[in-house]
This record gives sequence, C-alpha cells and structure tokens, in this order.
Amino acid sequence: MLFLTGMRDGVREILAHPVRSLLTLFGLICGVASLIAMIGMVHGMLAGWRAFLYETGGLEKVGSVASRPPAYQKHLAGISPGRTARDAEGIWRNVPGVTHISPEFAIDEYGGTEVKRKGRRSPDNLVYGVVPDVIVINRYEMERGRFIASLDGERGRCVAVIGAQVAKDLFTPAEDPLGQTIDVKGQPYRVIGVFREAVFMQGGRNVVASKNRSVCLPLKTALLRFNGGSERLTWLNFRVGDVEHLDEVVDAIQNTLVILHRGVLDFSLETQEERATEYRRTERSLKTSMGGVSAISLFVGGIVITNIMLASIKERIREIGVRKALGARRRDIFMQLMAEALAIGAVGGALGVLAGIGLVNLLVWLLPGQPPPLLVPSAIALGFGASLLTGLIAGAYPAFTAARLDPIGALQNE
Amino acid sequence: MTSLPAPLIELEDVRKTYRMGDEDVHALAGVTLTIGSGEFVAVVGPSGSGKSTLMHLLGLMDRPTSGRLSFGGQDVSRLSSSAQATHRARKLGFVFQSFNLLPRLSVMDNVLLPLSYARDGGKDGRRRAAEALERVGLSHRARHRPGQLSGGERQRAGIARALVNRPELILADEPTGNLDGQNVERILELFRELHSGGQTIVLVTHDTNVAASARRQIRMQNGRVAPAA
Ligand SMILES: Nc1ncnc2c1ncn2[C@@H]1O[C@H](COP(=O)(O)OP(=O)(O)O)[C@@H](O)[C@H]1O
Ligand SMILES: [Mg+2]
Repeated sequence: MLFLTGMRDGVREILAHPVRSLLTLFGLICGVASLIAMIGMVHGMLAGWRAFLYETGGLEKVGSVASRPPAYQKHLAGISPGRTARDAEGIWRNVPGVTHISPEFAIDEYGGTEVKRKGRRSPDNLVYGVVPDVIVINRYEMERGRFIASLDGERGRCVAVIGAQVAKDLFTPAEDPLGQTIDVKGQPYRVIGVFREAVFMQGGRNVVASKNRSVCLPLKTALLRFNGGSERLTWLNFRVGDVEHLDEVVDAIQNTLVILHRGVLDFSLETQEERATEYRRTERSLKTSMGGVSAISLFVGGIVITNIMLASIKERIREIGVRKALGARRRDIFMQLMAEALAIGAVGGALGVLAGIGLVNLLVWLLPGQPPPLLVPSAIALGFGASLLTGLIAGAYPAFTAARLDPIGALQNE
Repeated sequence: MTSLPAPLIELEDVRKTYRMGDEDVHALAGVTLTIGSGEFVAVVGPSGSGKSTLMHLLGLMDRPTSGRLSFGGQDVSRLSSSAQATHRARKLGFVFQSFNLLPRLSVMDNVLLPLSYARDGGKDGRRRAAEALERVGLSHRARHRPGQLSGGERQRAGIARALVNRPELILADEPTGNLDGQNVERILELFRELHSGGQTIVLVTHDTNVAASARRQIRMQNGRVAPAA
C-alpha cells in the first residue's frame, strides 16, 4: 500500500518535471535501447549465419577436394588412382559415421558451363553429375518434378534437374520446363525437375545465388559422356550423422582415403568448422562491445539518477520531515524513495524499450540486405529488468540518505 | 473542573542539553510537569525559553538528555526510533505554524497520510478522512491542492490531518502564528470544540489571546517551568 503510493508519488514526481525527468532517464533509455538493438543484431546475424551454413550444407558436411601432394611424395603421385567413385564406396563400407556420400563430377571444373535451349542461353552454370545423396548434402529443394534417381545413372539416362535461375534463363514464365529438352554442350537432356530458388541475402546480394545456377545430371551419364569414361571425381562430399563426433569421423575418412590412395596425400578434407568458429568469434566481440555500450549507458544513467534524486530530496527535505512527524519510520521513507526509483526505472525502461524497438526498425531500414536485426522478446524483458535494477541501485543511496534525516532538522528546513 | 483528570503525560526532571562548540546549551533544564487527559494547555514564554524543545520531546521527535517522560503510564523516552514513529502515527496529531501540507498531494491525500503510517489496518481511512474534513468545514475542498487554499483553510486542513487518526494528544506549535485575526479566531474555535469533545491539546503560542482560550497555561523561562503567576 505504502509502496504503491510511493510508486504513484514517483510517477507524479517524474511528470511534475518532464524535461528534467527526460534528462534523468536519458542514460537509462540509451542503455535499454542499445541492449535491445545489440541482442537484436546478434540474433539477426546468428539467424543469418545459421541459414547460410544450412544452405551450404551445415556443419555436418565434409568435403574432400584435390590437393597437390607434398614435395616428398611428388614422385609417387602417379600411383594414386585419385578421387574416384571407389573412394565413395570405400568410405561407405568403412566409416559408419557417414550417413550420405556425394561423389560429384563437374563437366567444367574451372568455369561456368553455358546451357542453351531454342536460342535462349543460360551462362555460367555448374553442370555436374551427381547421385541422389547430393540433394541431402547440398540441401536442394524441389520446386517441380523429381530429382535424379539411382536408376537414371545405371541406365545412363540423359536427364537433368535445373536450378531456378537456369529455368528463368531458358524458359518464359508461361512455359513448363518439365519434359522439355535443353542443350548441354551439344547434347540433349530432358528436364525432369526444377529446384526451388535458394535465397540468402547478405550485404545486399544473394550469397547463395550460385545454387540457383546448378544443373544436375546422373553421375554415370556425366562421367561417360564428358569424362571419357574415367572415374575421376571433382568433389567427394560426405554428411556426418552426428556433429558431436565430427573430428573422429573426419579422422576415419582421412585414414580410409589414405589407404585407397595408396598413401598419397593428393586430397584434403574440408569442414565448415572454421567458418563456424569465425562466426562465434564475431558474435562474441559484438556481444562484448555492444554489451559494454549498454553497461556504460546504464551505469552513467544510474549515476545521473542518483544525482537527480539527491537533488530532488534536497528540495523535499521538509516533506520528509513532515512525513516523519506524521509517523513515517526510516524504512517507510526508504521504501517510498525506492518505489520512486523503481518508478523511474520502469518509466525509463518502458521508454527504452520503445526506443529499442525504434532502433531495431531503424537498423533494418538503414542496413538493407544485411541479416536484419531481430526484435527478441527476451531482450526486451532483459532491457526492462536492467532498467528497473539500475533504478533500484541508483536510488538506494539517496533513499538511505533521506531515511536517516533528523525529523526536527528536516522540518525546520526552508 | 472539579475532578482531577487522569494523567496522560508525566515529565520528571526532564533535561535537554545541546552542545554548541565548547558550551552546553540547556534548552530544558529540568522540567517536571503532568498533563491530564482531556486538558487544553497553552505553553507560553519568551523566545528561546525551550517551548519548541518541550514540544519535540512530547512529540517523540527527540529524546531527553536525562529524566523520564511517560505517556499513558508508559516510559516512552527510550523507545527505538521506529517505535517512536509508530507512536507518533497512532497516538499523536501535529499542527504546524506553517501548515506543512505536501503541495503535490490533494487535501484529501494529505489528511490520509497519518493513516497510511499508522498501519493499524483501518479500512475506512477515506471515510475517516472525510469526517475529519467535515469537522473542520473543508469537505468541499477535499480534491483541491493546498496551493489553492487560503491560509486559514490550509490550517484547517492541517488540523483535519492531525485529527484523522483520533490521537490521544494534539501538539500545535504556534498554530496561529501565520494567520490573521479572523482566521485565528476560527482556529481557536476549532480547538475549543475539540477540547470540549475530550481531546487533549498542547499548544505553544506567543499570543496572549490565544493562550487565554486554553484552560491552563504553562509558562516557560530559561528551560524551566515558571511558577504560576
Ligand atoms: N538543535 C539545537 N542545537 C543547539 N541549540 C538548540 C537547538 N534547538 C534549540 N536550541 C537552543 O535551545 C534553546 C531553546 O530553544 P527553543 O526550544 O527552540 O525555544 P523556543 O521555542 O521557546 O523559542 C534556545 O537557546 C535554542 O537556541
Ligand atoms: Mg519555538
């Protein structure tokens, strides 16, 4: 009851001096707003990174790429069969931690491939032979039709699944690509499926746009028609079932591949760990820097509140004397002023939340294409709570000072 | 005035000494007196004679340096500050020379203040406050701010506030000091009314007219009670 009237008096006190109150609350508002914006930005970026990581295969994707063997093995390079479909076979049998394997052969390893149809052209595509597992590892999604099946490869069928951009290049919106024939380096392929468009905007551009320039053929067909029947692969990607055991599975893959390549280190394994580590580093530094800004604002805001409350108490010494004469105990005065401080914290927190929401929206508008900052409910709660706490901490000393005033002296104060 | 009233307040050789630099100031230099329940007492005397100091002790706003002060038979001079505060809230009513209404609260909220500190679970606080305002003839001003009231009205609001918790003792230090003749009369009339209703009142005054309306006068001189003239 007393606490409630204290809160009411606090709000009255704030409303009685709107300009002074706004100045008082400025630090608090900045602190809360920056806290909300900071958490929003970190969450936005995290969401973006997660999406990007996901689009590019996730942490569970392990790639095996060609690499020059070390100098001491140069003379041995010839004895390695290189990366072939047999690697895939060997890993499948020997490394149980691997759930999917994608041997891939790009018909132009070092450049884009042009695909044509009835005078229309689609430049710079990745045309590659694949097995069904690739759809899981590279995370393709079907928009129309079906994906390549094992049988397509075994039968050497000339079929293709094309990315959204390829479809846009070769077909008008009115045309249905399914069943149509496209021209890959003079050879006809029938379109059996179209991928869903992959979009992940960062810095104003779609960083996964290349996914939409994919043309998938059955691996065997591609090897036969574009690799002279050689089994040498361009890439060999794996999907690890349990990311917790990533390191162990990568070791097992490494060992198996060394044996299959007769000891020649003409490959290297790549994971997305490094990228994830970098993300985490950025996240941490953002949190410390922005968290520091919020903490400093709240701290400064707290000091301002302490000062203004001390000044306001000085003006109200007589009121405190009257209250004491009428029976207020020290703790009643203390509680009343703490209630006022809490009211200041609540008003500052509420304004800070509004400012924070505004700031998040402003950032979304200022940084188009960046992973947009998110409005996180827990950040709003945290900001408001931090404001209340700052108010209480800042109010404690003035409240203590006021509670200890001698009633006679306070009553005689002019 | 035949029967002796039961004593409400008893002071036995009460002293209050202030230390000013190297000197001791004896604001009260041994006061012994009894105030009966239902008495209307005026404390008079020259400036500096210790009237306010006496009121502070009676109001439990301060503690005597030595001596015994009892209220309703209980020694209250050594109570903790929190117990003193509760005593003030429940048993005392204060009327001040400069009214001391809180400017940002309505007249009603000012009158309610002692009840909130009394914490005796009175649910009918608003009713009691309304009654107190009615008694001083200020019902129509309940929602006004003190700043909107005349001096006389403010002091009546102050008296309503002192009455609201039905105190055993009302202490008034120069309650008419800031008022003009007509308002002084009105306030005194109120005090007389309260007194005839059985209220114990101790007031300090310079004004011989004011002192005359009390049934008993205590003359202070150099921190002592002067013998009756
Ligand atoms: N807080 C104090 N410190 C020092 N001296 C005081 C204090 N309060 C009162 N005195 C002194 O005590 C004496 C009595 O003061 P007071 O009770 O206020 O007298 P009155 O109200 O009769 O004018 C005066 O000499 C005054 O200066
Ligand atoms: Mg005085």
